[in-house]
Amino acid sequence: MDDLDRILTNEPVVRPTNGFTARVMERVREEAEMPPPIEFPWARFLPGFVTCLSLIFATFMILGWTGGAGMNIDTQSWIDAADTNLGHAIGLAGTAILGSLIVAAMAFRSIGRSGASPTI
Amino acid sequence: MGLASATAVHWDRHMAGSAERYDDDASAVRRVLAGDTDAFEGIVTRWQEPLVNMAYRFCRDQGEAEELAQEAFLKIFGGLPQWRREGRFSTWMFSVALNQYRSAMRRRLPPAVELDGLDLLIAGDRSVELDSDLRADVVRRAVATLPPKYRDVIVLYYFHEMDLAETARTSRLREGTVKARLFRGRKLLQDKLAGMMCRPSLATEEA
Repeated sequence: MDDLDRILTNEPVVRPTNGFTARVMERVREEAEMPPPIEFPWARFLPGFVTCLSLIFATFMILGWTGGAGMNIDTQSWIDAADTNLGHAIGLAGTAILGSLIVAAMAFRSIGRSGASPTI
Repeated sequence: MGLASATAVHWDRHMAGSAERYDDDASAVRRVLAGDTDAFEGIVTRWQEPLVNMAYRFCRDQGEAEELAQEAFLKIFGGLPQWRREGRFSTWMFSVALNQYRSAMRRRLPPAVELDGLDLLIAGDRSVELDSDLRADVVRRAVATLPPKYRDVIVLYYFHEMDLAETARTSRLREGTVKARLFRGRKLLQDKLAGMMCRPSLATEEA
């Protein structure tokens, strides 16, 4: 055993101050009385999340069918492309509206199931 | 400051690390999990001293050590369902406490360790005469200035009175890793304290 071992092994003992146990138990009782943390609502989050992902995917698919015009950052050419692909543009808008309605319906359904009433 | 004159003890042995103690802890845990919060008091009473001492070796301040130990007890209380009974309660408890102390030390920047004579020694002023108590204190404080992965292993190793296997279990590292970190940590420490550790007076005074 060298000097370092001797010094580090022979640490003086620290005695906890009076009332330490009582203080700890006070905190423990507070902790025990607290309601358990609210779990993340995966059951409600996942359907909405999947719907959003599907919408984003659908949007890119539809824009892809327009020959990539939708991805062009040149606004005028995008408008021209949309103008010449009016059917696709209407389809895109319809899909977006439908998706929004589905998300809204699911949100209202979730609120109704939990018994909470929306307040303004 | 509540420093006793007694030297360090092997906590597991000192705290009567016997089957009876294990039974006491296991029984208290069972009761706590059944909803009897007050049963946790037995665990706090039995283990307060080791946990405060372990924390003290990280922060070198009694008030802070008690705060750290209190937070550790809260974590232990909240984590009781995770204790797998095939392992010793003390090993699991020290492991939870170690994680708590590590996190607290990470948040505490810069380290509030007063180095006193160590600054002078590091600066190369070998003429500083330190008595044996102060030298021992400087060495212990120097441990707190080591990189965390070496500091943690060194603190645990000496806390467990140089029990390598228990150090490995508590830190959840392999014994080989603990050995390597101990070697490197001790080397760093010896380099830092080179001027002091080679003094023959230290060995004679401490013996």
